[in-house]
Amino acid sequence: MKFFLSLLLFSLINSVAGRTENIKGINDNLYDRPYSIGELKSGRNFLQKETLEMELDDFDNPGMIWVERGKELFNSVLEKNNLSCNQCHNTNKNSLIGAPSNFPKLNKDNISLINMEQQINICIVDYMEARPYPLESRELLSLSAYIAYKSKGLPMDIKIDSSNEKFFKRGKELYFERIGQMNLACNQCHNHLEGKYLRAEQISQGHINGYPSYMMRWGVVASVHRRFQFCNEQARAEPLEIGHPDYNALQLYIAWRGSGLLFESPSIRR
Amino acid sequence: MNNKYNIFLLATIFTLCIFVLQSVEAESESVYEIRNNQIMEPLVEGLPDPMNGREIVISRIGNCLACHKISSIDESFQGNIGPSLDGVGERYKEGELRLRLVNPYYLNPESLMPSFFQNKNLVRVEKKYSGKTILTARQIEDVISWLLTLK
Repeated sequence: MKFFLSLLLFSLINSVAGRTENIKGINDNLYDRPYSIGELKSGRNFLQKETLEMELDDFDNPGMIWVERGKELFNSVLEKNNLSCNQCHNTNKNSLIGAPSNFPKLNKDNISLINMEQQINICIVDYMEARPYPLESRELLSLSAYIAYKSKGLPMDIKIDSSNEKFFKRGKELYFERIGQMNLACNQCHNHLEGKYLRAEQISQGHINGYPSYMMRWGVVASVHRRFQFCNEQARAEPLEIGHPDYNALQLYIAWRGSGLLFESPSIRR
Repeated sequence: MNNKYNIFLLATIFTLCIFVLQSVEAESESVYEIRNNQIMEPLVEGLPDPMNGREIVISRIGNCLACHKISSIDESFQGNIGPSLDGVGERYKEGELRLRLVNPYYLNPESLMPSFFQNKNLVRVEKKYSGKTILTARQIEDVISWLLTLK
């Protein structure tokens, strides 16, 4: 009996283990896209009419409070050396328009990725010699939302080359990895199930062109990484820390697969 | 005499230990047998409670309505990712329903529906759920018994 049970268990484990290698999509060409440029739909397409109207009107959009605060911070001097962001980044030089397309990008150390929020902190520490803002803090997201807002309406254009391909691969791997007690991978919902309903929630293509985004469920602007954490919790998976290298890799892959969409930050999402 | 009593006590404790260990094993190993696309044997003995099963299906415990629609239930937000469960008790036998709840990957490796009875070979499970199945054997049997009434 015991022998029979272990045999059964063994075959069971094998069948489960074998499963992960057969997930559709992951073994395809590395640069296969789930959606062609013409098929891309921003999360905006899945909003209720009232929410969409709120998002489109800068006076009604609550995310604009972050943008306004970000603009103030951007133009104010920080601590010791009397520098402000706009002294290096102004209309004449380094205007940052289109900059979100460069993120997440390779850090100076050449071994890790950093996203916009982390880059802002690097500037604050290295050039302005001030204290960095905690990740996900109001100040940091205000700055990040303001910088993203400068590129609103421009197409996302994420380039993958030999310098960041390794991270791109890792991001794709994470995107297709089943996680949590629910044993779900991102691709299972966000590749080709768009428009279907999960209770009252309509499934989107999972693009991040609207981030940082005002999240109605929290009443604040949140980063993509915080949204990833929420996704993980839905799958009953242990979330990673905001700023985690794996979240940056995932962000790179997801941004790339939505290349061609227009930047919409600050968007409004549920 | 005293010695004899001690041996008796030890034997009792030993038997009890084995009994407890076995029941723990039965809880965590989730061993079952699939034959003809069915799991014939109930996961746990005893009479199932269909009304409790109904509660699990509707509530967030089983959260079946997140993906499936059941017309007879008065609940406004029902998902449409999986097939409708209307008439599911007519379409499938008890053992077929059990296989779908216990190991949906057996029939469809790409299944979005999780196994409600799997607690191993999962990645990065949130600590509070670690080592646990989504539903207990008892709850799964209750759900099956109610699904069979959907005709």
